[in-house]
Amino acid sequence: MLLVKNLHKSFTLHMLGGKRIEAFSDVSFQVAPGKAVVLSAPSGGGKSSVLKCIYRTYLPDAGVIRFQSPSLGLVDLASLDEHRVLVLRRGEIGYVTQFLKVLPRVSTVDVVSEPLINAGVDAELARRRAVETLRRLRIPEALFSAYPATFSGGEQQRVNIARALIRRSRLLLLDEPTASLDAESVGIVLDMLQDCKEKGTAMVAVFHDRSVAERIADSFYTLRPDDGFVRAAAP
Amino acid sequence: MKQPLLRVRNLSKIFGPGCPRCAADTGPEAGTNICPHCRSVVACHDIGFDLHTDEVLGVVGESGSGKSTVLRLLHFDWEATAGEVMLYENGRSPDGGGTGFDGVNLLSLGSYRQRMIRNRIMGIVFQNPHLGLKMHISSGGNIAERLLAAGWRHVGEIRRQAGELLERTEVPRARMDEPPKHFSGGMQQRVQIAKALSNSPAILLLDELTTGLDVSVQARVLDLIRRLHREMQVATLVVSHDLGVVRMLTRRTLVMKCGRIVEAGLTDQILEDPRHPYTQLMVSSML
Amino acid sequence: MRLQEWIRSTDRSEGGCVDYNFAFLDEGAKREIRRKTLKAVAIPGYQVPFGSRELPIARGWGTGGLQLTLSLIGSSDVLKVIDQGSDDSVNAVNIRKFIESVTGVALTTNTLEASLIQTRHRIPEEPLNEKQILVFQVPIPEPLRFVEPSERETRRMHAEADYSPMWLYLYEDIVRFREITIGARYPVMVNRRYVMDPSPIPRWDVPRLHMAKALYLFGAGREKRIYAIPPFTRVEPLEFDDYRFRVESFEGRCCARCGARNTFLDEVPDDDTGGRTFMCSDTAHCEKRRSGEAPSP
Repeated sequence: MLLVKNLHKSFTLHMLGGKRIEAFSDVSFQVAPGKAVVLSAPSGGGKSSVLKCIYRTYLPDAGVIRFQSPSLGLVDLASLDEHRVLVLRRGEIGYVTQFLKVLPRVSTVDVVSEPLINAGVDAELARRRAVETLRRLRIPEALFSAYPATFSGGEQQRVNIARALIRRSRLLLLDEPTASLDAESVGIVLDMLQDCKEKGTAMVAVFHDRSVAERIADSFYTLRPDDGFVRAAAP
Repeated sequence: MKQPLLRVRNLSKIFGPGCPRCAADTGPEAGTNICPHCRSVVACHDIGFDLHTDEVLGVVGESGSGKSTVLRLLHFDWEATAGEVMLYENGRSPDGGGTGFDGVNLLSLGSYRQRMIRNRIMGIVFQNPHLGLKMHISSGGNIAERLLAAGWRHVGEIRRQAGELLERTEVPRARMDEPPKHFSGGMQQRVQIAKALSNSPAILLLDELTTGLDVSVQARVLDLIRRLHREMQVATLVVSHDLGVVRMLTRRTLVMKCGRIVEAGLTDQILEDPRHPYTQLMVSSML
Repeated sequence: MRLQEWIRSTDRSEGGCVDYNFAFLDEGAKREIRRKTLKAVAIPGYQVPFGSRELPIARGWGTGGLQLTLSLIGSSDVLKVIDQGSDDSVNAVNIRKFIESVTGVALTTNTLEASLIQTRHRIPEEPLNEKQILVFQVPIPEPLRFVEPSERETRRMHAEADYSPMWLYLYEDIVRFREITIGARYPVMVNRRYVMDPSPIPRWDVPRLHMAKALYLFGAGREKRIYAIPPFTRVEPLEFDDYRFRVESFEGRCCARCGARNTFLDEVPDDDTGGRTFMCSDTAHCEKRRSGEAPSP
C-alpha cells in the first residue's frame, strides 16, 4: 500500500550562506495493509523526517512515495499537488506527532472531533465519538471542555492520539506516540493501534522505546547510520 | 475530483505606462517591483493558483509584495494588466447560488457583469473598516446594502437576516441600528464580516483583517472566522503579513515578494520546511 | 425695445432680412437636440448629455424643457404650457408668450386639444393620448444625487446598474421614520434598467408614467441632459414588498372650487379665516369641471 523508494531529504539554510544539512538519503521500504513498519536509527532526527516527508510537511528532494489511495488511485506523495495531499490527510492518512500542536482556545472535545467533522460527519455524532475515544484513553471527564494547551505532557499526547484514531485511516504515521505515557496508558494505546491494524490500517512508526516498538512492529527498517545521523555537508 | 472554484493564471498588474522590460527587471531577484526603465510599479506579475471550494488559502508577504493587489484584482476593484481568472461552478445553476458564468474568464467580462458576479458570489473584508463600511449609516443598513444589491426587497426579511448575521458575528442585535462609527475596531471588523457573509458568498476575501487590532481582539476575530468557515464552507482567501494568522486559518499558503509568488505549498510545509530564502527569513523572524 | 416688439418689427414674411430662425434655435441646434432626443427615446430612462444653448431666459427657469419644445415644435402644433398645474403662473405665461412670438403656433389651455405640452412639476389630470408629447422641465436630472455627489460615480453606477446605495437610502428612511419620506422627485425604475428622476412631480403623478400612451421627454438645461419615457414603457417606483409606494392622500378633502375628490389638490391658506382650503392643482381641468365640460366626481 505504501512504497518508499530512494527517498532523500536535505535542508538548505539560506540564512547561513546556503549551508546544506542532510536529513537522510536513499531510504526505501514498504508497508502492506494491516502491517506496521517501525523505523529505527541509532539517533538523530532522520526518522521523524521520513514521517514528515510522507505526510508532506517536508518536501523530499528525491525519491518516490507511492501510495495506493481508494479515492485518488495510485499517487506519488513526493510530488502530489497540495490540494490532493489535503484530501488524503482529511480522509486517509493520519499523523500522531510527538507534541500536540493544536489551535488555542479550542476545547478538548472539539480538537478530537474536528477530523471527523472535516470528513463530513455530523457534528453531534462526531462529538459523541470524541467523548468515547477520550474515555477509552482515560482522559478525566473534567478536561473534556478545557483547553488542551494547559494539560500535562501525557494528557496532551493522549488527546493527540485520540484525534488521530477517532477516524479510520488507511495509513497512520506515528512519531513516538507513547513517549510521555505511563505503562498503563501505553498498553491502552497499543491495544487501540492493534485494533486499527486488524481493520487494515498500515503504519509507519518511530518509537524511542524498543520494547514498546516490538509489541506493535511487524518489521523494522533501520536507517543506515551514516544517513540517519544529521550531518553537515560542505555547501 | 471537482474542479477548483477559481483558476488564476498569469495575473499581472502594472501601475504606470509599462515597458517590455518591466517583468524581467523587477521581482525578488531584482529586489524591487519598480521597473528601472519606465518607473512603472509591477504590483504583481505572473500570479497563478487555484482556489478550491471550501478551502482557506493564505497569501503572505510584506507590504508592497503585491498580495493585496491580487485580492483587489479578484474583486474587480482594479483592472488587471494581463491574466485570467476562470470560474468553475461545478454544476451550480444560477438558481442554486451560481452565476451562469461557468468556465468563463471573469476578467474578460464588462463591469456590469463583474458587479453582478461580485454581488452574487463574493464577500470582502478590508483591513480598514472605512473601506468596507459606511460609517454614518446603521450597521444593519450596511448589511442591508449587500442584500439589496443581491435583490432583496423586503425590509422585514432584510432586518431579520441582518440581525441573525450580527448575532453570528457576535455583535449584539440591539446595536443593529447604530452606525459603526460608534463601535470599537474589533466590532467594526465583525460588522464587516457580517456584511461580507450576508449574501452567502462562495468566495470570501480577507485583507489583513486583524492588522491593527489588539492581540486579544485579534484572537477572537480569528476564532470567529474559523467557526464561520466551518459552518458556511466558503472558499476563503486570507491575505496577511502575519504568518501566525496564516498558520491559524489556512492549510495552503502562497508566499509573495516584490510582486511574485516565491513559494507555494502546504502551510505546515511552508512553516517547517521553507525553501525560498525569503520564506526562511520570514519563518525565522516569527515571534 | 422688448424682444417681442423687436421680433414683431422685423418682417419675416418676405425673408432675407436679419431675423430669428423659426422657433428661435438655429437648425443645427435643433438637429443636435432632436438626435439626442431620439437616443433618449431609444434608451428609456438613460440621461443623454446635450449641448444646452443660451436662451433669453436664465438657466434653471425651464431652459431644458424649452429647448426640447423649440426643437420639436412645428407650425401646426397646438401648445399648452403649465407650471405646477397652472396655465396662468408667471413662468408658464412667459414661456408660452415667448414660444408664440418665435413660432406663431396656436395656444390652448385645454389638455385634450394640445399636441405639445410643456410642464413644470405636474402631469395634467386628464389622460394623454398617443399623439401628444409632454415635455418636463427638470432641475436635477440625476436621481442618484440623493446618495452620491460625484458625477463620475453616478455614471458608473448607472452603467453597472449599481443601485444598492439608492435602495439603502430608502431602507434607512424606513428604519428612521417607518416610511419613505421622499415627496416629489420620487425615483422610478424605467424599463427595468435605469433608475430615473421623474422631475419634481408629486407622487400622485408617478403611476401615470407607467405604460402611458403619450411620449414623455425630460430636459435639464442647466445640467445639460435629455431623457425620455417612450409610450408604453414600464415605469415602477422604487418600493419594498412590505413598504409599498403610496401617493399623497386627500382623504376627506375636495377642491374648494370644483368639488373634485380624485385630483391632486394644492393647499391654499385662507387669509380671511386664517384656515386652509384645498384647490385643484390642474387649473384648466378644474375650470372645465366648473363649466360642466368635464364629468363631476
